[in-house]
Amino acid sequence: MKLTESLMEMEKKVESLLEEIRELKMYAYALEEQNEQLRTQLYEKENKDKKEGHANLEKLYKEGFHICPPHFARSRKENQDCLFCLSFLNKDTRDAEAK
Amino acid sequence: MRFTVSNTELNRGVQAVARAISPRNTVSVLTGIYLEAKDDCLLLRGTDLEIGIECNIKANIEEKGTTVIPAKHFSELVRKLPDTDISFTKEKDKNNIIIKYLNSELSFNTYDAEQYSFLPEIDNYCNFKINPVIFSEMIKQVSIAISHDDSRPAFTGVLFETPGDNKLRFVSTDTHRLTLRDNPLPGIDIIKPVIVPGKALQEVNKIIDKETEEITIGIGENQAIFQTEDIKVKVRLIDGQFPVYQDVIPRDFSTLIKVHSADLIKSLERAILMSYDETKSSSNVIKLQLEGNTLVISSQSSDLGYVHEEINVYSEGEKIEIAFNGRYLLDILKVIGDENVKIKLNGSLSPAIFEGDTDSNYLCLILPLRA
Repeated sequence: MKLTESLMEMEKKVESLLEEIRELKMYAYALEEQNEQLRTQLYEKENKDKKEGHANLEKLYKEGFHICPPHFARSRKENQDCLFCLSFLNKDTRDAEAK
Repeated sequence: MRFTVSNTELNRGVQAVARAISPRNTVSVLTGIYLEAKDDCLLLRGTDLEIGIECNIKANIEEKGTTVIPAKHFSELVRKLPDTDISFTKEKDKNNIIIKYLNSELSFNTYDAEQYSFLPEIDNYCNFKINPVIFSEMIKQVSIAISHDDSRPAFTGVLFETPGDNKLRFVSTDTHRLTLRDNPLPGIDIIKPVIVPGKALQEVNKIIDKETEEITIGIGENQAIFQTEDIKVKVRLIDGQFPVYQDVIPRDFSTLIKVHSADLIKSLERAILMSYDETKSSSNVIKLQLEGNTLVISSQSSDLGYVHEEINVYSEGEKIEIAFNGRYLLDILKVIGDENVKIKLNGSLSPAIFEGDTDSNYLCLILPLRA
């Protein structure tokens, strides 16, 4: 085979490879887009759940129940504040603010 | 069984071990004091199986033996006996003991000593020694925040732990207050954190001789032992998880007040008096207001009137208005043991920290009341 023919053949192969790379790039781009959308959706959902969870705990505490791990769901005597519940609520708020 | 003992010694031993006996115990033999005449001394024991106290006293033993005497009446009797030598005789096949003093004698019915049970001996425990005066101070300082609610056992006890740096730490909390007391103990081994019942600790504090050189504390799997030369107190540990208390202690604060403890105590006592409310819903509510270097202490009662007192203080940071249960404040100030007290605040809803001005080994956290 002459050198020119070999080079032409190689050029064809490179072109085909380039075409394949272009297709892969488009595919990767589409996947990245989709991934970004899914991540956003997931974050929004988690955040919503967390906010709802925090709001529920706060509501439970205001109704006179413990929300701290040692006494969870027990009623608070004479509605007195509890160091551990307040620390738990504040920690949740601080974590949310830090994010 | 036959022995003679001085009434002073007997009284000391009986009053010590009687502290562990519950007269309402359903096991009748446990309402008694166990006596064992040994080779060279008389061993006395009392227990409700949660706490067990034993005391060795000097006695002239003529014949060894054991018996159990009803504690309530025996301890009353011993208090009323003349200050002289008392001799005890118990025949093996009889269920009474003859007590002789001066020219008199009396007979006491006894329980069968073989039915008596005591807290078991423990083999593997780590122990350390501590000065009894310091130990007593530590107990007093953490006792104020021990909960009396038996439905939450972990809170009715005091956490013993070694946080490192050769320190012994006691922590207690009733969820409204938290106290933490450290004491340096060079060479102390790391112990597994355990919860010791608060009531038992207070009994230990009452019976240990503060003039003795040191008290040995042993921590086992289920029991703690407090021992001086002649008294040994065994305590069954509380089975439970102490809450993670470290997260509760605030690290930053926006207001610092330094105030003379005695001045604040006197003002608070007057303010508490004037906060009396017949319905008790707002009794003991004391307001503290910081304006520059003046701390205003006030309270009011619809039945009595009001009080407004001003104290000069040193302060840093933001001005603040905050309300506390005055009784809680008094409890802290009376055990803090420093001439001046530091109050660290973080707004009117966050817990306040009380510390001695010079002693950083003790802190007390207290939740404010919502105004």
